[in-house]
Amino acid sequence: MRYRFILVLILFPVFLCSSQRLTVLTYRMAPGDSTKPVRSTHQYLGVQANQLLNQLFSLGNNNAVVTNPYLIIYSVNSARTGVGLNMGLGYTVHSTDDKSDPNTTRSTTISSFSTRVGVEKKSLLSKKWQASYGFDLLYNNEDDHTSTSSKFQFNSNSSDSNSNTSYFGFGPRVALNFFITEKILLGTEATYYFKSIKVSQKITNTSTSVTIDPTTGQQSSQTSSSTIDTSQKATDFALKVPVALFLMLKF
Amino acid sequence: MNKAKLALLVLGFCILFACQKAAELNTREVVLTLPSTLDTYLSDSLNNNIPTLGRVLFYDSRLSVNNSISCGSCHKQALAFADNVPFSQGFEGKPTFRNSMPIQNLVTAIGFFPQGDLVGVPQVPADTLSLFWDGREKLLKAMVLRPIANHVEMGITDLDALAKKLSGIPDYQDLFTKAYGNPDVTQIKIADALSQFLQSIVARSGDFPLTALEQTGQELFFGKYNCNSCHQTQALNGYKMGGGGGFLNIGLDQTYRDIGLADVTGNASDVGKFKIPTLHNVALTAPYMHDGRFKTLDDVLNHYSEGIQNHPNLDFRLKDVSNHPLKMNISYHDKQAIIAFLNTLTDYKMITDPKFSNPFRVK
Repeated sequence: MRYRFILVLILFPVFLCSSQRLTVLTYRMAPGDSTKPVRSTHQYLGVQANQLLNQLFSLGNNNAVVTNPYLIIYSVNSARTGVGLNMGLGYTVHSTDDKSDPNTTRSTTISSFSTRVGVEKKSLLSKKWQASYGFDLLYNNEDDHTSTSSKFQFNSNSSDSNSNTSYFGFGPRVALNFFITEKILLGTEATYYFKSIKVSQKITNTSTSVTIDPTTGQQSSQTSSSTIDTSQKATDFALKVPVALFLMLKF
Repeated sequence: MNKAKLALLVLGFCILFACQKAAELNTREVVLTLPSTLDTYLSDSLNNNIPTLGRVLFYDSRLSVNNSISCGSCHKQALAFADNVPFSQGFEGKPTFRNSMPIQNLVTAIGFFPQGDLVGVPQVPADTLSLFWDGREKLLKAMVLRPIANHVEMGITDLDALAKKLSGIPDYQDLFTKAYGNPDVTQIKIADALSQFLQSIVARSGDFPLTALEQTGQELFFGKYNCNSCHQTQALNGYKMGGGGGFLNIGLDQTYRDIGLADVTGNASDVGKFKIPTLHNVALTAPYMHDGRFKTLDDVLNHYSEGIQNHPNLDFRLKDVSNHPLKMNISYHDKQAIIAFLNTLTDYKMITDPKFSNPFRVK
C-alpha cells in the first residue's frame, strides 16, 4: 500500500511535466502585439548536479557531504508576480551483497524517498541573478532491509533486520539562481526545516545450536528465535547551508 | 508523452519496487581454528588465553545484533586494521560516521589498563590518553565496547544480553574457562579480552636499508617540510606529545560539518581538530583523514602543498609568517620521494602475523 502511495508521488511530477501542453503552460496575447505570445507562467525543472560539476571542474579538496535529498526540483511561477508552486523529489536505492567475511553473508537494500511541496516567490535581483523564498511541507521515508546468515560449527544464525525512518516536516527555504543563459540556470538553496522523525526497527534472529551428548555422541539441535522491536520518535530543527547545486531549465 | 511510454515508465517503477532480493543463505560452514600451542601476545602477559579469546571475539560476527559484522569487518589485518573505504558499513549496511582508524600501537595511546573494571586512573599525561578521531574515549576497555553498542556499527543495545548470547555458544564456554577460570561471560570479560588482543597489535618500522629515493624522502620529511614536528615516525604512538595534545586542525575545511574534538570538549578552540594518526603502515590505511576524503598519499601531500584552508584553529605549524595558510609547494619529485619513504613504514610482519588473523576458517 505504501509503495502505491510512493508510486503516485513519483509519477505526479512526471505527469506535471508532460502535461505542459494541456494546462500548466498557458499563453495569452499581449495587447497590441498580435504575433508574439506572452507567457503567463514560467516553469523551472532542475536536477541536482554536484557530482556532475565535480566531474567537470576540479573544485578543490573540499569534501562537503551533500545532504539535500531532492534530486529533481520543479516549480511553476506566475510570470507577472513570481508567486508559484515548488516541489522536490528524490529517490535512491542502494543495494549491497557482502560476502567478504567468511563467517557471514549479508544482503542490504536501502531505499529512500523524499518529497516536498511548497509555495514560493521568485524575483529578479539583476539580469543574471534570481532569488526566491518560500515555505515547504516535506515527507521522507527510508527503508533498510538487511538479511544475514552465518553457519558456524555448532551454531547457525539467520537474521532479518527491517528499519524504517520517516519524517514529516515544514519550514522556510531561500534559493539563489544564476542565469548561465536565458534558459539555463545554476542554483543553490538554504533551508531551515523542522522535522518530526519516527524510527522503527525490527530484528528477527533465528539461531540453531547443535549439542553433542558427551556420553553417547548423539547430536541434537535446538532452534530458537528472538525478535527485537523498537520504535523511537525525535525532532530536528536544522539550518542547512547551501551545498547542493541544481542545474535548471527554464521554459 | 504517449500512452506506451507512460506504461513503460510505470512498469519500470513496478519492477524496481518488486526487486527486493531474498537473502542468499550462507552455506559455508566455518570452524574455529586455534593453534594447539598458544601464541604469545604480550611479553608481560601471564595468560595468553585472554588475548586469544579477544582474537576470537574480534572476528566473531555474532557480536553484532544481527550476526552480520565483526570488529574485523571494518578493521582488516591486511590494511593495518583499517578499512579501504571512506566509511565502513554497519550491521544494516548504513555508513558509519567516520573513517575506520587503524588499530596498532594502542598501548602508547592509553598507557594504563585497569584490571577487572572499566574505571581506572590514568597514569600518563592526560593529553596522551585519547582514542577515536575525536578522543572521546580514554580507556581501551571502554573503547572496545563502543562500536559493539553503537546503533549504526554493531547495534547491540544491551551488552548483558550479548554476554548471555555468547554464553550459550559451546566454543565460548571453553574459551572463557581457559581465560578466566570459569565459563561465565560478562561484558567486563569481553572488554578485557578484546583490549588485551588489541594492545598486543604493535607496528614497527622495517629496518631495511633505504634506497636513494627513500633516503631523500626521509630527509625531506624530517628537514625541508618538517612533517616530523607533528608525525613522529620514530615514536610508537606516531605523534608529538604536547603542543596540541595529539589533536590538530590541519585546515581541511573553512567550515567543518564534523567538528571533531570540539564535540567532546565543547570548546570552540577545538573545532576541526582531529587525532594525529600514526604513520606506521600509512601506505595501507587509505583513504585518509577522519572522513576518508583523500584517496591516496599523493592527495594528502597535495593538501599540504597547496590545499590548506584558513581556519581560526589552524595549527601554527601550518601558517606562514603572515599568519596565512602555509603553501608548502611540494614538487612532484619531492612528493614521490616522501611517498617512497612513507612506504618504508609498513610492518609486513604485523599484517601477516597469524596470531592476529581471523581464526574462523571455512570448512
